Amino acid sequence: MKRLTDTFGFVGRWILGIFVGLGRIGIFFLSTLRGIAYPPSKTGLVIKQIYFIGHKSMFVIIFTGAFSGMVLGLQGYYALSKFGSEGFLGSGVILSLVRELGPVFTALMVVGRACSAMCAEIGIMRIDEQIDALRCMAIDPHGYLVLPRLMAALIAFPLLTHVFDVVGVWGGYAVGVKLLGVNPGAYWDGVYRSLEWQDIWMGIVKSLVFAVLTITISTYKGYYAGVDRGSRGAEDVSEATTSAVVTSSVTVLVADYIITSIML
Amino acid sequence: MCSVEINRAGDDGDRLDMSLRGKLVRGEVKAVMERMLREIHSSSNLKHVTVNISSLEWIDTAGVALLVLFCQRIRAMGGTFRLVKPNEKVLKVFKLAQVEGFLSIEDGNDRA
Amino acid sequence: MTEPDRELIRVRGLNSFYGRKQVLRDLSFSVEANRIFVIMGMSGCGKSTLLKHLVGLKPSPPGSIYIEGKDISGWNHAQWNNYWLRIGILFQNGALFNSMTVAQNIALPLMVHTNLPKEIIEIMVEMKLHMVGLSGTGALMPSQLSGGMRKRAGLARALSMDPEILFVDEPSSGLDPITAAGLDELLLSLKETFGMTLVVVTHELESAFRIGDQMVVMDQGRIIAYGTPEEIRQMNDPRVQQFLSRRPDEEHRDYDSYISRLCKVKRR
Ligand SMILES: Nc1ncnc2c1ncn2[C@@H]1O[C@H](COP(=O)(O)OP(=O)(O)OP(=O)(O)O)[C@@H](O)[C@H]1O
Ligand SMILES: [Mg+2]
Repeated sequence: MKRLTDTFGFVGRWILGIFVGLGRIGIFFLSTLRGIAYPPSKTGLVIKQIYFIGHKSMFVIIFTGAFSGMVLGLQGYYALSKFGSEGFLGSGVILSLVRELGPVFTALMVVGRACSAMCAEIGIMRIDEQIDALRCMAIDPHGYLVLPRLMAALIAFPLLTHVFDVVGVWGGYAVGVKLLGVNPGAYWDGVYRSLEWQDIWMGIVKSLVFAVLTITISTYKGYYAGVDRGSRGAEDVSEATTSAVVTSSVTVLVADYIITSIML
Repeated sequence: MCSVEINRAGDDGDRLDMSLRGKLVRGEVKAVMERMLREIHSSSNLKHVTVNISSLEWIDTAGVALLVLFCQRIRAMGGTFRLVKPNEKVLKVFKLAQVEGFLSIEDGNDRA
Repeated sequence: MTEPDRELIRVRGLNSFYGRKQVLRDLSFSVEANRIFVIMGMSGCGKSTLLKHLVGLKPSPPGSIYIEGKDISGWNHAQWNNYWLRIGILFQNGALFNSMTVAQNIALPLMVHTNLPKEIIEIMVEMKLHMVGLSGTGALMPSQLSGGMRKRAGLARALSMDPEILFVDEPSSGLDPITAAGLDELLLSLKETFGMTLVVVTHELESAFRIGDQMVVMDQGRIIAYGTPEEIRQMNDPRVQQFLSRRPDEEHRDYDSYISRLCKVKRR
């Protein structure tokens, strides 16, 4: 009996904790949006953050994009050749990329490269009292630290996703056409013909949603690094960063499923 | 509020006498700076600039920075710059910023 | 500019906790405008915590802190921003933004809150650096500064908006006596020239008595002495006298608990 109540207590606390966390992150997000109305002007900061995200993630995105496309070419070829329909390779590659792999992989790569760095940077500012210093200068830390990153991500995520898609299509081409001998005309024809506005729209919606989710989670984790425990140690930052990466990645995959099921 | 009063003098307009009144503080500096710079850019043969601040009640470090910038611009143009008759409080601010030597501050009575 | 003898900050029965641990106990004092108010006390007695309450970084219970007669516990966002624009703070660790140069650190509040042209801001930054004795270090990153330099850069940043009230947490810790004396003079002339009000936390007895108009001595979260420097010197409370004559504790104050901790280690 005691064990049973213990278990219920544990589960209850766990669920409660999740709701409290969701509430806090919601408030965090709203305070960030409120920053739009207050100084400082965000233009310069946003440009800097776009550069930061792009600079950090561009290379891995090109790299993973190429290999995703290549693997799609390979798998698609073997699957389709069973039915003698290699000609559909182009459409298989492009639809998988634009609708699923592009937004998801791009988001995961940016989480690993840029969001982790953002979380650590903000976490260090927290434990070194720099966030307190900002507040006491009447500079809203949400508006100054979080909002520019969020705005930058809303611009950078779709662009990087696009890069991933384009590189991926060429990766599929390299394997499918050059290596396995699919007709190039049929490949490109499949690419152009099967892609519809709806698919592109789904890709964009996903990358925008992922941008908001990953940036909000990562900056939130950094912003509250060590705050609950009232401690200011290096391990608070490392813990926050780990948790930011894991939570963001999981959230991306869950959100991907939800968006897909709504939009299909 | 800070107001700027300007008198041109000399044979061919090579002298400029300005006087500042009121409080030269952060919020005023931009407007005053634009006014002062417009004045020196509009004359080609400016040689001697005197800024009379006897009616300047108060200055903050932004105001001091403005005077330093102004002085430095005029000297770069080959002119001379003098700042005359700061009151006690204003003089203290110059001393704290250690610019009273650079700005050639004069009482205005002993030397002409 | 503020006229002297005006009560600027009033603290009445302030208690403060970290979790369950009480760090400030029933503090009461007043800070007058255009005066230097010195806070002294043993390490860990809650001085920095007190400053956090005074600048609004740690929420205060209603009725415990009044600024210009208004209870700060009820302030809204706009009122806080208004207050923050009038104050400058030097944090104990400097709290410089480590992704910006020293000059950018000092320029930041001016860039955000004023319409001053860039040239003017640059000159102001250079003047503030000169005041704290750091001329020519504007282009360095905070990580390239020594501890004492970081502290002074933090002070320069606190001064960048010409604050009415300046809060300083141990300005001269980690500084040589000559530089520390220079800072004392700077604080005095800030009061004198700008009519600033200063709240200074310090461990340096000599400097405290040189600059202070009013002071409190704290011990374990309580005020054990409050008054002008002369009054404090005349006080015959043993703890205050011990503090002023820099005598170490004769024996470990928690000797029994220390021994019991030692024994616990053996038993495990
Ligand atoms: N974030 C925190 N969580 C829990 N306890 C804290 C925290 N910050 C400070 N304390 C405790 O509060 C007490 C007062 O700390 P505070 O930093 O105010 O001391 P201080 O007087 O400034 O000391 P010092 O002179 O060494 O700077 C200390 O006992 C400290 O352990
Ligand atoms: Mg302290």
